[in-house]
Amino acid sequence: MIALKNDRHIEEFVVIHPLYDEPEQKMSGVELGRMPMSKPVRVSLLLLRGYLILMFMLLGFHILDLAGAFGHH
Amino acid sequence: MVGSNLQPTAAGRVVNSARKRNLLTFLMVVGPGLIVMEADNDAGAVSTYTQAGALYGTHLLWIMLLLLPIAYFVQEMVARLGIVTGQGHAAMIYQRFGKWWGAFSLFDLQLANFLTLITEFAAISLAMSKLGVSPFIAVPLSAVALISLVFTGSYLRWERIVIGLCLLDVAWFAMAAACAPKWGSAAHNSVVPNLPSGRITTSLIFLVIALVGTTIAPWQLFFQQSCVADKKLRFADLKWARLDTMIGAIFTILVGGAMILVGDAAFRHHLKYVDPSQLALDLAPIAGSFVKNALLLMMVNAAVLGTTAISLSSAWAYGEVKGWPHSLHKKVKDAPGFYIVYALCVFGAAGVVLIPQMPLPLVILSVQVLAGLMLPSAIIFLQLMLNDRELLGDRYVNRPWNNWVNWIIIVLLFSLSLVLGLQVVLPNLFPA
Repeated sequence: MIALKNDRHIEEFVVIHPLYDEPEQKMSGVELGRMPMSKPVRVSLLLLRGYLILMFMLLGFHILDLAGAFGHH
Repeated sequence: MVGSNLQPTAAGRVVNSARKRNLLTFLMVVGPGLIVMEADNDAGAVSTYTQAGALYGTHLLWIMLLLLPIAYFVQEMVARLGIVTGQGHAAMIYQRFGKWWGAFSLFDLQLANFLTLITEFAAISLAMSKLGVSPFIAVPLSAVALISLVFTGSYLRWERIVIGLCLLDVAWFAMAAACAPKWGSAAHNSVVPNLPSGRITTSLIFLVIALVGTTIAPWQLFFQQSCVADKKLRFADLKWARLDTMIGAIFTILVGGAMILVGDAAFRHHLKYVDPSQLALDLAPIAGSFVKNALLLMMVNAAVLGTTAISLSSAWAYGEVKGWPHSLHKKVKDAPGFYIVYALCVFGAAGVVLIPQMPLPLVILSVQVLAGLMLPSAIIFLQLMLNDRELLGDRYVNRPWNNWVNWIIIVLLFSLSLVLGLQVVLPNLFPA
């Protein structure tokens, strides 16, 4: 978006579609590499691993249960 | 930017007031937020919402109101991340968390997406067969149309057509009105939390998790960030992207509520719920042929919207991770991998659906529950990236209040997932 003033001093604005505008310098993570393992990040990822392990164990249990591995089918 | 020496370019439009500038800019930016939200009202959502209405009347409408801020806050974060980095979600996870978490997220996404796509084509098959069109004609034709929609090499053409399909969803309001709901109790149940039978049952828990899973799905995170990046939204567009997301969230929740009201007609008339297409036939003598035909056609519309958005989220994510060209601006010959993944998603799911004896309602509910299970991990990555000061800088990183809201959402999603898991181990945890 660009603001212009014409000869009669009436403000005019040029609105450009994002697809056709000049590319902006973005904040890229490519040069940064991996996120530093601060305590909150480490704890969050640890909790996530625990959650996923628990969920996969429950899923495994459910599949074995459906297959009659626990003998009550 | 302000400067008297700047000349308008051929691609720019000149307007003479700030209000017109704002309106025009918004119209240019609108799209990713509206599409991601409305595409989430896909075939699975039609099934889940109408089922919620058919089983519990309007009693679960208040959950929709709760889901509105959740849907907005989650998607606002991905829009912000996409604008600031200019990259998709899958690429960001690979870069910031390494290959293991990147591959895990990508595998999850592709699995959940493919299962969801099967439900979309199954819905097309069901609805079109009720309209008298053979699935062996309807499904392949839909697949070809969905491929054609994307293979034109024009982002704008795709976006305009898809926004048009999104706006067709206003038909749900007409359908809800034609079903003559009890507006008073619907309004009451929308704002006052209550339980249908005054107690928690297994089917109610599953349905609540499915409602959450269908309203906020993992593919949405990947889709909107990639879409925002593909559309090349600028930093200055952030406020308009937020408005786009907010409008999309409100619209999708209202449409979801209308679907519950349509299902509620079955509840009030004691009709047995099988699936949305059967609901359409059952409602015909009560609400008229308009509801029947509109419900079947809107099922197809929902499935088409869901399919294009979900397949694109897969194609964008795969392209980002593989480093392939991945843009809707590019012609097929310039981004073959991106388009091949999209086509494989569409044709693969369409092919599976043509296998006879698919237990559709079970598949749909399983997919929603699977999405509800996977969402917490996706949200954790999102939350960590939005607190990544090194990447986003002070200006775009989450504010403390953002974090409070997000942690509440995370705890809620994890709790629902754990309840679901516990129910698997202890099936008698809640009464049947």
